[in-house]
Amino acid sequence: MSNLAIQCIGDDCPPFWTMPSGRGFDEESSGKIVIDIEKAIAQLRESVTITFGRPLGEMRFSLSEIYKECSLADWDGYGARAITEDAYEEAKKVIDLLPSSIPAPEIVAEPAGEIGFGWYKEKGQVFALSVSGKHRIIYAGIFAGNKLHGSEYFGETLPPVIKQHLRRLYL
Amino acid sequence: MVQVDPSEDLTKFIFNRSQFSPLSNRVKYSVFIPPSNRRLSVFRISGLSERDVWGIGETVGTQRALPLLARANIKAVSVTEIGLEIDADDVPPRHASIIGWPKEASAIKLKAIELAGRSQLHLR
Repeated sequence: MSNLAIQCIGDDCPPFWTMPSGRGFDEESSGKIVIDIEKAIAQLRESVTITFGRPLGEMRFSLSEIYKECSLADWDGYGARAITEDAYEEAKKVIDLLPSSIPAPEIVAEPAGEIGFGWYKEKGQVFALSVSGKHRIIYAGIFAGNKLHGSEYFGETLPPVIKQHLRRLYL
Repeated sequence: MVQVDPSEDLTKFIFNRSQFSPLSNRVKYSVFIPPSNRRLSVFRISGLSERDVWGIGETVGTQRALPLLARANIKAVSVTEIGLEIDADDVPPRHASIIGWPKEASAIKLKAIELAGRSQLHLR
């Protein structure tokens, strides 16, 4: 019998607990369970779970449009650097890793060739981060007059400090 | 350096649609992130008619072969209050640069967020 490991992405993972059936399962049926769970997670993330405002697919579309539009230098008319494929790939990862309870961000191209994500709760309540494909997240925010900024290593998960600031904005 | 009166209006012309939100009538922070030379290009527009202001933007857009989409207005005092400076170089006429940016990329982002929050969007 093999073990089933499910990585929980974000802070609000859907519950997987169900009433025990009292039945065991063989290798074939366990494989089917894995596929079913993956499909269910994908459906949740595509249509309902992520963001109050926009589904995941819309954010990905928005990102790809920005990449297309800003992948040549001087896209802003002021000498901006082109958005690189590395930045685009890393931005896709950010979208996939955003906590499902957080509203969808505005996605922007930044003049240094980075892709930024901005959350505007209301005036004076703002948080933004950006990635450039170099495994670093640059962030800044204003929370009711308190200002902060910094940078964090970006590996396989969103740095806890980023999730903490997003929670501070919305929860 | 030519002194700019704190009450003066400045404007930043916008040529990329990802940098503003017509729906929420808001300028996004990326408009105020300076280029690599750390001189953010703006124009001093106090005393000019709307038509004249857009005319300057059209000229800039023509030079860059980009369509003018919008502009972000901001008071000079909003720039200096957060520790940045304005270099009124007047080349071309009425041009100025916002300078004095911090070194850290994250600190620059914070300044850009603050400027965006104090600016007003004007659609072409």
